[in-house]
Amino acid sequence: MPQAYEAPPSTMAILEPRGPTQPAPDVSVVVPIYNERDNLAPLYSALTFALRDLGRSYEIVLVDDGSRDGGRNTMRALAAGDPHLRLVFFRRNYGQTAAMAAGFQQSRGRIVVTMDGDLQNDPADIGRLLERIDQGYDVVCGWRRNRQDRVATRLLPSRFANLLIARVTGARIHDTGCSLKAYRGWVVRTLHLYSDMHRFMAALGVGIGARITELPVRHHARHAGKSKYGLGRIFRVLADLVGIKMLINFAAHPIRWFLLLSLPLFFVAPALFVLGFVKVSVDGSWHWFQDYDLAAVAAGSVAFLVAANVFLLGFLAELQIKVSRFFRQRISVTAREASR
Amino acid sequence: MSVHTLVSVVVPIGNPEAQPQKVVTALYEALTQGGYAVEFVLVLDGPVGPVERQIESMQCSCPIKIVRLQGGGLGESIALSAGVARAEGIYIVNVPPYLQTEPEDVLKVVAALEAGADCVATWRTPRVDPWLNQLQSRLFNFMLRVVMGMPYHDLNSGTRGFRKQVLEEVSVYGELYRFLPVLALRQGFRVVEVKVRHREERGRAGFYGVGVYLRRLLDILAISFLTRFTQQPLRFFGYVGFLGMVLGVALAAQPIYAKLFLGVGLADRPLFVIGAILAAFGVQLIGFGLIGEIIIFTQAPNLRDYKVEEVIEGGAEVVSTHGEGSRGPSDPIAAVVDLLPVTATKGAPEPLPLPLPEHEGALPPPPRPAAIAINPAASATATSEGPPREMENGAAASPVDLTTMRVRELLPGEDSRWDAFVTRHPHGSFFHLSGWRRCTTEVFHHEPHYLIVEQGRRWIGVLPLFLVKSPFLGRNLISVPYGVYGGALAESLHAQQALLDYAAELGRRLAAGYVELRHLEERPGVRTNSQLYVTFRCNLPDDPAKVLPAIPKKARAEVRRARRPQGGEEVGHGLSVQSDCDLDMFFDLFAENKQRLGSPALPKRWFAALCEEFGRKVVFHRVVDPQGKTLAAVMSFLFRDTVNAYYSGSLTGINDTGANNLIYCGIMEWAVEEGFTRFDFGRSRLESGPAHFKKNMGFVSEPLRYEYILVGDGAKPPDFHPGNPKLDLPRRMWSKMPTMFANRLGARLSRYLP
Repeated sequence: MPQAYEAPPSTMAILEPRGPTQPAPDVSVVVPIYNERDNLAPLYSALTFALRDLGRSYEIVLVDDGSRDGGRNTMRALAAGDPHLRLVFFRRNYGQTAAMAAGFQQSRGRIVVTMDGDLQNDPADIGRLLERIDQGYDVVCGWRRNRQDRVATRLLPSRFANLLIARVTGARIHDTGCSLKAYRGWVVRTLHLYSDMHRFMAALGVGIGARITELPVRHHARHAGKSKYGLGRIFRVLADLVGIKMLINFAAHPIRWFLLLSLPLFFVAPALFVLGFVKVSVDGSWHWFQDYDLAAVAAGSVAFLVAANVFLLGFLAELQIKVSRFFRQRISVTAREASR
Repeated sequence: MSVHTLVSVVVPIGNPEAQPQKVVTALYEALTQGGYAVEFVLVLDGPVGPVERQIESMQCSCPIKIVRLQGGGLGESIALSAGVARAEGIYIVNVPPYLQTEPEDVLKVVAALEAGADCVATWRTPRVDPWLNQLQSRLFNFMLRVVMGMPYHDLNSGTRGFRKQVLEEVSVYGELYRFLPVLALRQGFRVVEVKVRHREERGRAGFYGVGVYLRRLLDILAISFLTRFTQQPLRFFGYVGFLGMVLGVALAAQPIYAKLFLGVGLADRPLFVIGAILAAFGVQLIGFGLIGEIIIFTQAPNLRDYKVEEVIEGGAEVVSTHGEGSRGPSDPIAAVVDLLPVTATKGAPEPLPLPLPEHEGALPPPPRPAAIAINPAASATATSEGPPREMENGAAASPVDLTTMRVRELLPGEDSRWDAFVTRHPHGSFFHLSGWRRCTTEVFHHEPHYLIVEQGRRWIGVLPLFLVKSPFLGRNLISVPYGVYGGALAESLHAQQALLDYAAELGRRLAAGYVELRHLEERPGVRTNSQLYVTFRCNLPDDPAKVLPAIPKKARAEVRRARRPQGGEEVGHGLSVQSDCDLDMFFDLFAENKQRLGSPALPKRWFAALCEEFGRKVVFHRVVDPQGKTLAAVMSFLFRDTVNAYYSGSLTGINDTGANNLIYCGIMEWAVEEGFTRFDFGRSRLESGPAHFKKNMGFVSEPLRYEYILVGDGAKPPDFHPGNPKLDLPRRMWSKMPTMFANRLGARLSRYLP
């Protein structure tokens, strides 16, 4: 009988970084930086201190997301003295996801660790994350158990958002918002980030068959600079969540998602048709074919037309998925997962 | 401010009233006084005869480049792009072909560029053109500001400055040159606006045509859409759609309530219809948002819409900032960085200083012998290393070469090496030869991927593949189309595995459904096998006279009857097998036969290509009756010691003459005479008519081990074979078609039935 061909691990080589001149380091730490001038030196020394004693080769990739506070000069000065440092400068501010994506692009490590540039994460936790990776996990998420943020504007919305994200995506993580995470290289090099997707990296990882776990990490209050988040992102997170849900669960068969979308209209349309052919008198009795309501029939037709339209859009989605390379990779990754 | 910074002034000239001379003179003066070097690029776009004469007579002490656009009237975007492509300066100033602004103000633009801006928009103020134009222009910019939130006041101004890099990364087309600052800003360039004094304005006064306004409006919409919503289509569409849905349901709810419970009809409730349409539209918008999201997600690798300005590798000087003792041998990066400069000084600079002192004053020596003479150690190692590697294949290669296998595609000029490998390999076949590649690509245009696995410089395996795109079967990699044998030829299991892995990867990359390997012999490894086909082969006797007795009784009688002269006591047909057949005779019979069977025939070009490519490796035989009429013909391939009877054709209604039996008997006799030792009767579908025919001729069937590596989503091996009952109707229809039509169409169709 036909059997799906299982890709051997060797074919995954295309996802591994192609080393230019230097051998790929064991660990890459990617840190997006935006206007963190006063945090840079402490961050650098904390990172170096933490990484140096791990006994692994490492690199630190600082991605400057268009800072305008003069922090770049500090970064250049740091880089001049340390070959472990790699700097990526953006032309302007593109947001954290783009910075992460660029960091992933530039990183060469077998394991990629991400963290915030504001020192709210503790680099000393990196070693513990790496141990988890060594145990066989593909993604290890940090979990800020004791968050040091103001309750009303950050903590409550975040709790709610996390609950929702965990429920909807199926990635049972307490704290998706924590930037301190460790990934195996193939995970970040398979996922291409856009928009605000960095928040859903873990969920997307589950979607491509990565083993995921979480680990309580320390969390410090900001001591320099100011927070860049607010309440305004909640609606956007919700909209993104719908998209993520679709991408994770319906990726292989997007037409189902479109069917789901059009299904209510498929029910509404006949109901409206019925309304068009019935006269309801004040006492609640229905008289069939006595009084015709053209408006209801027209509305029913429109509903039907749109339902069919939306359903057919699903075919376009199927096409797009079929031609995409991502889902081929996803399949080969899953095959690798199965063979392990 | 550096004195020699080159500024390129690009002037697109589209109408005959232009005054390039005035522009060139004024700007040259202004810019040189500002301390810049200037060049002008004049782009002539359209019928600009008088201007051209003006340019020819122009005197200027700076370089003027003239770009003539073929055809003309191509528009300002193209003119601008063409001009910038020829410009050599880093800073580009784009001005209209008349003095729109005070020449000194162009200096401001350049100064802004030099201060770090990537793109400079100008704001003509105060303006001097008619109030109506001003009003329109203001309206346009006001809309831009409101719709797109862009801070620019005067995008219509023809004076712009930008770095060359901007136009290399921002593509402008149509009317989009106007929006260059907006597009550049979106790409992450730094854009500033400078005020310039307006001097004069050319071009239309008053109102433009309706189409112009419409186009502007569409431009604004398209750009604002692109800049804002391409990143998050679901956010935008989902938001608007959700709003529409809620609003629509709210509008329609009351009328429906009234209809159901208050006895009020819907007929005169317009809000109900509007609400229903709004809600439906909302659902549709959400659908569009989802589609957009899927597209963005799947294309995300190509849509890298951030711009990296600079990547800095750390550690020019390897001074440890974090203590000396801590860096141990456990840190390979540090070790590499430490080593790199050392190896560099050892290798590169050595030959340079050496020749100088010794050969001073001597005859000019050719550099290479000199180096050898002076540096005997180096030359000795060079000579001892070089030639052996050339001579002995792999013997002198380093141990690394022996262990690493590498799969790559066949390069031009390696065909004869390929053929040698195929001929040497025990599983090699005629269809593996590189000639098959040339024919298949030439006639059917399938994309070839001939894979080689190498160990060092030694070839240890080959796999010919073709990407065949067929409306019936989809995209697939096939080894090899139109051949019955194919697949991997490897010297070891590892080599074969490397080839198949690469093929699977290639299949994924090319979005193929499956990789079909037409293996004759069973290969190790578990894959999807199709045992639909069998093949028939036999060893030939050493004497032509022994061929006939080896055929079973019934078929032997047929052959005898076919040969026996007509008009004797026993029934005879007087047929004979001749090897004087040519392509034309063969093809007529082949095509007729195919149509009778209801399958499309391969085009004649294919056979012609095979004949031309393989020459005497292709032979034809035919059966002729006493009147000289050809009854049947066979095209055979000769490979090594084997004759492969491959394509055949026969007239209708000759079954009782025994011509079919006779021709194969005749070919076998011919083969023995020519010294071949094996006969290959070719592939047949299991339990089909031809298979029985071949069995009757005394051949034993061998199963073919076709293998399928499924790589695509939901791919399955093809069941598009002639025995599929689904194809019954098309086949019967095909056989009823007029011959000429069937041949023409078949030639096209058969391409997709590899």
